[in-house]
Amino acid sequence: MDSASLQFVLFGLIAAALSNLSASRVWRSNVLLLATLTFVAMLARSALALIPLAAFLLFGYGAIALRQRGWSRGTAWSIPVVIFAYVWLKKYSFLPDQFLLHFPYFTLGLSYIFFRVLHLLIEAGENAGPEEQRHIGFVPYLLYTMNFTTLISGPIQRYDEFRRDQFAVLPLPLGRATIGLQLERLIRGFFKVNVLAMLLHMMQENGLEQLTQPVPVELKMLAAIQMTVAYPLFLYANFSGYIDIVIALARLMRIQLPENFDRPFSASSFLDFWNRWHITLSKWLKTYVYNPLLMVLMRRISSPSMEPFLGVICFFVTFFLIGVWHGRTSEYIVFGILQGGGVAINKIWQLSLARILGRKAYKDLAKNAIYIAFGRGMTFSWFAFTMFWFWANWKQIGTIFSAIAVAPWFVVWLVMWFGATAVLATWELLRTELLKIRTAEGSALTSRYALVVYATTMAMIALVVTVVLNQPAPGIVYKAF
Amino acid sequence: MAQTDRTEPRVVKETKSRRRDWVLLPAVSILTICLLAISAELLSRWLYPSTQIGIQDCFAMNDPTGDVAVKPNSVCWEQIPESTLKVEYRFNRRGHRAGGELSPKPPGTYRIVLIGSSVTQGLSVPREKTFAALLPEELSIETGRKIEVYNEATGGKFRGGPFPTQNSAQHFDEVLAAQPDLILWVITPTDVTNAQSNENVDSPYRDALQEDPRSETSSAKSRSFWGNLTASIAKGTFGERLKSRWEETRTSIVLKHILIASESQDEYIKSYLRNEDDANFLKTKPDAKWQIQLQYFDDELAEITKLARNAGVNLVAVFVPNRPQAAMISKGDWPAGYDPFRLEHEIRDSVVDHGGHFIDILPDFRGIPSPERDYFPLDGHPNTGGQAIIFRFLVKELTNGTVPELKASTPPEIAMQPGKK
Repeated sequence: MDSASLQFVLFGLIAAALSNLSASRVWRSNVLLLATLTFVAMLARSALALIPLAAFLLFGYGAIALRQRGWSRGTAWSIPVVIFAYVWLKKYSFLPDQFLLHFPYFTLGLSYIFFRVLHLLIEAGENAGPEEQRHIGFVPYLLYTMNFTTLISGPIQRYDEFRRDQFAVLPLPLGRATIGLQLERLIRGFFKVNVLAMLLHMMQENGLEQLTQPVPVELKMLAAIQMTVAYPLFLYANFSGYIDIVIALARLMRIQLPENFDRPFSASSFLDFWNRWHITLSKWLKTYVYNPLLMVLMRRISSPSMEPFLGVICFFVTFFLIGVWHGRTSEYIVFGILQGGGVAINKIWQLSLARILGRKAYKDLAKNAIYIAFGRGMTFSWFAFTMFWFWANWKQIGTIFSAIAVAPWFVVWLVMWFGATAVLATWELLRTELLKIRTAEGSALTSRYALVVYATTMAMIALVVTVVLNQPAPGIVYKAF
Repeated sequence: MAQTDRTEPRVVKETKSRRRDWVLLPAVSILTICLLAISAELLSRWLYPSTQIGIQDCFAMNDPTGDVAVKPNSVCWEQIPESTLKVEYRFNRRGHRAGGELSPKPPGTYRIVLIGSSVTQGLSVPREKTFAALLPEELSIETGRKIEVYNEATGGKFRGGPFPTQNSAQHFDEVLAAQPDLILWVITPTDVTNAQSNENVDSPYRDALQEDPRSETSSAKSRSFWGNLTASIAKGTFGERLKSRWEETRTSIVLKHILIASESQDEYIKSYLRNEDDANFLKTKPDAKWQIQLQYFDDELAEITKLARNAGVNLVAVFVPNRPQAAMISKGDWPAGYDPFRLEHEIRDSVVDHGGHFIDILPDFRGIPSPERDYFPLDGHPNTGGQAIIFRFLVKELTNGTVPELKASTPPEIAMQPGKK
C-alpha cells in the first residue's frame, strides 16, 4: 500500500468511518491504535524488521517518563543518545559500515517519529511547565508518535495539539460541510500526487534525458530549463498532495493536523519561502535549534551591533540542518549548505539594504510590486537549482553540469529567473482578480458549488489516469527521509 | 485503554449546509462530468482528427472468410489520430501496395520481393516514404545495378484479412510469380504473436490468439441497448464492455498517446515491462504460452523457407523490433530477466537452420537516440521516421556482402547519423 494510493485513501476512509461510530475518546483512540498497527503490519515485511523501531520507541518512552518524574538532569544524556540512535538507524553514510545493523529493518517514518520523540523529551525537561510535565501514558505516546496519518511523511504535529483533539471529551465537530470540504481536499491531494506529480515527473525525466542526448546546445538549454523547473513543481505536487490527503483523513477522524504548505512559490524571499514550505519542519527547527542557539550566542556575545548577524549565523545553522536532515549522503550536506547559505544571504541582504537605505525606505521597497515579483522569481530559481543536490547523486550532478558550458548555464538561470518572475507575477495578479468575483457568501471561486466542480473534474481525471489508463505515479518523495 | 489526559474541545465553526444543496451539489457534479466528457471528446477529435475514406471498400474488413487481405484495384485514404498525414492506400490488380502493377522483369534487373505484415506494407505512412519505396533507388546506387523492389506484404489480421505469414505461405505461387531474385521477409514480434499453425486451430489459446471482434459486434447489433446492458451484466462482462467502449473513444486514444509520448525512455521501458503478457517475448525465459507460440511460428517459417528453397530463390529474413524493443536496445541496459535480442536470435537460428539467410539490424538501433519516437506511441507501427531508419539499416546490411549480388560497389556510407532521412 503506497502512501498516497487509492488503497491508502480507502483504508483511511474506513478508519475514519469506524472512528466516528462513537464520540467516545476511548473508542476513537482504540480505532486509531488498531488502524496504526494494521498500517504498520501491512508495510513491515516481518516482525523482526520492527524490532529496531520498537527499541527506539521504547527507549524514547523510558527517557521521557524519567524526565517527567523529575530526573531531567540525570537524563540529559538521553537527547544526544536519541539523536545518535536516529543517525545510526538511518545509516548515515559517514558511519563505518561494520558498525551498522546488517539486516533489513523498518525505517519508514523514522525521521518524523524522531522529531516527535525529541519534542516530547525536550518538553519534558526541567524548564517545562505543568502542562508538559503531565505524565504521558504509553498508549497516548504510541498514538502520537505512530499515528498512521502522520507516520510516513508528517506533518510534524506538537503533542499538545494532538492531545487536545484526540483525547477531548467532546471531539471536534464533523458536520456535512466539513465532510464535504475534507472529501474535496482528499480528491485534490490524490489528483496532485497521482496526476500532476506524475506529469511533472515525466517532464523532469524527459528534460534530463534530452540534456544527455547529442543535440544542439539550444535544445540542451531548453531541456535544462524543463528539468530544473519541473522538479520543484513535482516535489510540491507530490508532497503537498500527500499532506492534503492525510490532513483530510485526520480531520475526518476529528484530528486537526497543522498545515505544511502555504503557497510556497508566492514567497517573495528565501526566508519567506521556508515559512511556507514544509512549515512544520522549519517551525520545529526554529523552536528547538534557532531560538536556543540565538539565546546562547546573545548571552555570550553581548555587542548590540553584532546582534543582527548572530541571527544570520543561527539561520545558517538551522537551515543547514534542515538540508542535512533530508538525506544520508554527502549530496545533502551541499543541499544543506545551499539552504543555509540561501537564508543567510537573504538575511544579510535585508540587513544591508535597511542599513544603506534606512528602515523606512527599505520597508517601502519591500512593498514594491516589482521588487516582490523579482524576489519571487529569484526565490523560485534558487530553490530549483539547489534541488539538484536533493534528487540527483554526484554522478548525475556531474552529467548535468557537464552537459552544457558555464555560459549557457548562466543563460538558463537568467531565463529561469525572469521567466519565473513573469509567470508567478501573472499568476498572483490573476488569482487576486479572480478572487474578487464575489457572491453574498464570499468569493465565487471558493464557494461550495465551485469546489464541487473542481473536485468532480479532478476526480474524473485522476480516475481516468490511475484506474483506467493504469498509469502509476511516482511514490511520495518524503517517504524516503 | 487507560487515558489520563482530559482536555476540553476546541470551538470550531461549522459551516451551515442548506437543504437545496442535497439536490444542487450532485446536479453540479453530474453536469460537470457530462460537460467534461463531451468537451474532452470534442477537443480530442478536433486536435487529433481521424479520417477514413472508402476503407471498407479497400480492406476486406467484412469478408466473412477472412482469407482476402484487400480488394484488388482499390484505393482508400486514412488518417489515424496519432498521425498528421492522410495516407493513401492504392492497391494494384494483384492486391498489393506496390506503387504500380507488376510487369515482366526486364533483363539485367535484380528483383527483390518483399513479404511481411503491416510494417512492410507501410501502414499509416505514405507509400513514397516507406522503406519498400525507398529501397530500389538507394540499392541501385550502392550496388551499381538496376534493383527493383516489389512489395507483396499484406496488412494484417486486424484489417479483416488473413494472418500475413500464413497468407504468404498459402499464396507462395503469387510470390514466385513476381519472378524474385531474392525474397526479403521482414519479421516483427507481432508475426510471432499471430502465428497460427493447423494445430493451433484446436489449441486452448485459439480464442486468445485469434481475436475476432466481428462475432461480438454482429450479435450485439441485433440487440437493443438495454438488452445488451442486461445481458452483459448477467454474463459478468459489463466491466469489459465498458472498458472496450471507453477504449473506442478519442479521449482514451489521445490520453494514452500523450501519456506514452511524454514518457522518458526509461519510464516507457519500465511501464511497458510492467505488462507481463505484452512483454513476454522480451523475457529471457518466456512462459509456456509464448514457447508454444514460437513453435507455431517456427513451423510457418520452415514452410516458407522450404517453399523458397524448392523454387531455388534466395530467401533473406530480417527482424524489425517493436517500439519497446527498439527503446531497450538504444538505452543499452534493461532489467534482469529481459533481453531485447533474445527473440531475434531464436528467429535467426531458425531461419539459418531451415536454409535461409538472415540479416541483423537490431544492433544498429544502439546508435539511434530515442528510436521509440520513430514509432506511433499507441498504434506501435513505425512512422515515417521509423520507416526511414529501417530503410537505412536494410541498405547497410543488404549491401555488406551477406547477399553477394547486392554487395556494395563502394563501402556503404550509411550512416548511423541520427535524423538522416
